Amino acid sequence: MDELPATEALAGCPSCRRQLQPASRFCTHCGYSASNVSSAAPGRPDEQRLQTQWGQLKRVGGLFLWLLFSLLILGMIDRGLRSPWPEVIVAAINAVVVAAFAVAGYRDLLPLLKLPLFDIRSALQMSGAVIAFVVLVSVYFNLLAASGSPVAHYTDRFLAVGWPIWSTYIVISVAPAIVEEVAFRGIIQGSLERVFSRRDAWLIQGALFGLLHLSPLMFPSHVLMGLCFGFLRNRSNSLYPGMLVHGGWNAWVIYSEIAAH
Amino acid sequence: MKRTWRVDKATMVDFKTGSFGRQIVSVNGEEFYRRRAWRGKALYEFVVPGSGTKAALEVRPAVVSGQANTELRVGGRVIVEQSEIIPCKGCGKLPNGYDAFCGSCGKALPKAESYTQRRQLKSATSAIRYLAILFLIVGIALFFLTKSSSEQALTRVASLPDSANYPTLLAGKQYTVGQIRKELAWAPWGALLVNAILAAVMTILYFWGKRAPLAAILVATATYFVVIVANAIADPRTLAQGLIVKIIVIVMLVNGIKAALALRNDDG
Repeated sequence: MDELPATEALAGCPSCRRQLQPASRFCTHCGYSASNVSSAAPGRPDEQRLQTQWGQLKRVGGLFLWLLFSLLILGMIDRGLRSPWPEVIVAAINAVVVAAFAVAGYRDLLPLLKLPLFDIRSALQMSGAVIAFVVLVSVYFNLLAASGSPVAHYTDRFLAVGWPIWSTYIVISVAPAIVEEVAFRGIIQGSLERVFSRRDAWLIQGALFGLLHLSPLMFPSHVLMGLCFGFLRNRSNSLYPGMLVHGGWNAWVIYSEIAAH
Repeated sequence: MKRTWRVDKATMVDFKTGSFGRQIVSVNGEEFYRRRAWRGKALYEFVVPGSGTKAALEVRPAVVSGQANTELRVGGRVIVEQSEIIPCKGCGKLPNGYDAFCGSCGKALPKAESYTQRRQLKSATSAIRYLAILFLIVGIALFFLTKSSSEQALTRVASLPDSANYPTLLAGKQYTVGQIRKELAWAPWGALLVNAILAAVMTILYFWGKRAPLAAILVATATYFVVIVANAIADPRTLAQGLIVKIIVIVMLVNGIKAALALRNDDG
């Protein structure tokens, strides 16, 4: 970089008008250099960018804490109650909240609501990811069952009160597939991508998705699920493949439970 | 108590407190102010010899720590409290403590606020490490506690066959003795496994934090909230237990997120 001209050094900084230090090539107050006026404040943090990124993190935190809070409320009112109604009501409220977040950030979400476009290579990678996820998660659940870990049955309370099977599929399979994909792969991953690299955003949303299922034993399997659905979203630039696989997996779990019942 | 600021190559500012609220400000060993201040904040203004830059030392009494909070500003810029000047990372030259940019290479110099943020970041990563250790200890303790109570409960149903119904309903549900035995046998291992997974998650986050502190602290904060909520669902009374510690940990982690974000932007 060029040194400040001697005349400027004597008169003061041309950019901030403050006194320059003798033999300085740059103004120590504003970073002005003779070669480029726009180099003032090089490397200074961009306050606006910082505020935008903090806003995105607050958005992620707000949605995550809301979903967590709804689980706390559900857990509190659900104690000893054997009706599926609290779960249905909380799921409906969550759907409304997620929709509100989606509307607030619709510009980021809109491109992900288009039909997926991918080539053969992407299709093969996505199929491989789904197969790997199904195999790994199945092996993990079987290992847990073999170790004597109590297995949660999602359909028990629906069947116990005589709700039709299709309602079980809607509440446990279809609704979470749509709401969770919009929330995690749409809003949360989208916001995180504005703060982190694409890869880090993908990893973080996977971890948050695993955490929100509130069971340390389910954490590894659900992180894997989150990563798989996030991978589908990244490869296809659409939420629909993730919704399809998510809904399909949940439907398979329901089918297995009903068949065993 | 003595505090020292290296303002530039030729200027060192010292602040000393003595008995009965005595406060002494000296520049290069020469006393500028000597007075007693019992309460309220004190402002000491002087001119840096050589450069002629205006300086102000603000002293605020601290209620909690008992040590006064001090902030030295030279030319409006906060100076880091240290006895030596940190060389410029761009060219290795020694700038003045109050320079915003290196006069030699033009690189932006870290602000004093950056040092505070680095401290907050360190606190947050330390909190993750302590949480990992805590989960491990709690897991081991719970394993032995649960094992002991499970064995006692197992002796009570020892005479009953597996197929018999357990005499009382649990959470409104009828269990067989065989199911109860299975649950009791699993309980200590479940407690250990749950806490071991949490400890492993926190350990991974601690090491990930060395490469990507913002991401790691973000996930650690979410994990901590989830643990609080999961415990509260199991037993709502736990929400109020250790509330102050929970608040302190959350504040440390949230400050860590803010600091990591600001530092990442600072470092470009």
